[in-house]
Amino acid sequence: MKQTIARWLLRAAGWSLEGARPAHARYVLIAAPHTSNWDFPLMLLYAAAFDIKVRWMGKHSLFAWPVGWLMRRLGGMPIVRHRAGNLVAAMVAAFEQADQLVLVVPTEGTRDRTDYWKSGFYHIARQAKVPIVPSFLDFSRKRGGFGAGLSTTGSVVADMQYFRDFYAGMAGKFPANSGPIRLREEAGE
Amino acid sequence: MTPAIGSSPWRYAIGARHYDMLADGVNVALEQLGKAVALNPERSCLSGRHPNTGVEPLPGPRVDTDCVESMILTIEVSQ
Repeated sequence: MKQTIARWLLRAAGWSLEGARPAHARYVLIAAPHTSNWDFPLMLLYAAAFDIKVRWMGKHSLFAWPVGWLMRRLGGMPIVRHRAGNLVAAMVAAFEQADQLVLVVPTEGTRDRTDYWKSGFYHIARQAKVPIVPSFLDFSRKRGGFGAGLSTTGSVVADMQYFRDFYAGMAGKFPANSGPIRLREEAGE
Repeated sequence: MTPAIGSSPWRYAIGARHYDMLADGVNVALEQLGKAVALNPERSCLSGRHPNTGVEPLPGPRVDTDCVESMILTIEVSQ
């Protein structure tokens, strides 16, 4: 039912679905390019349209009354940063304990232009030994969907090249806000 | 008390007594929500006040999208 409604809403807004539902049960899902407030609701609609239950990390204060229940229903996982200590280790543990977990990460961290992606998604996937699946919202073609998952190889540059190739030619709502696809640590390799 | 839901079509559809009860209920709920947001502006993104910058609240309860975005965590790992 939710899947049908999501597909109908996307079609009504002129968006098409591309690619297939990722076959993995546990993976880190990249949400990019992120340049607009529309990205988050659209991403949730796409996840519903492909029948994927996504989870995302949010500051615990976002889950307080009166909107907390809604955030949880939308897949939010409340994180108390000062208690969590090593957040990467906490998420790796969450993957190890779960039979199914799709953790969506807006890798740019902000809809403004950034020079680097934040690297947490990569380290969570590598340490949890789960693939990284790229998802996209291409506003230039009004298409969205998922790519093939990548199992990290240990070479950050090679792995990031896969994502650079995947997202080449795709545009967010505000293309000027899209920065380069790279991690700070690539410079060290 | 001003009815919070529509006017005459609702009144005809569900009857004046039920309409007034429902309107009162909706208004009380909205009032409580407004109070909760006003008392805890830093706890939700409904107030229009950014929790980090403390920028002046916008009039009326509304979602501050900058606030919501700042609360969705993306991790940077330092090597």
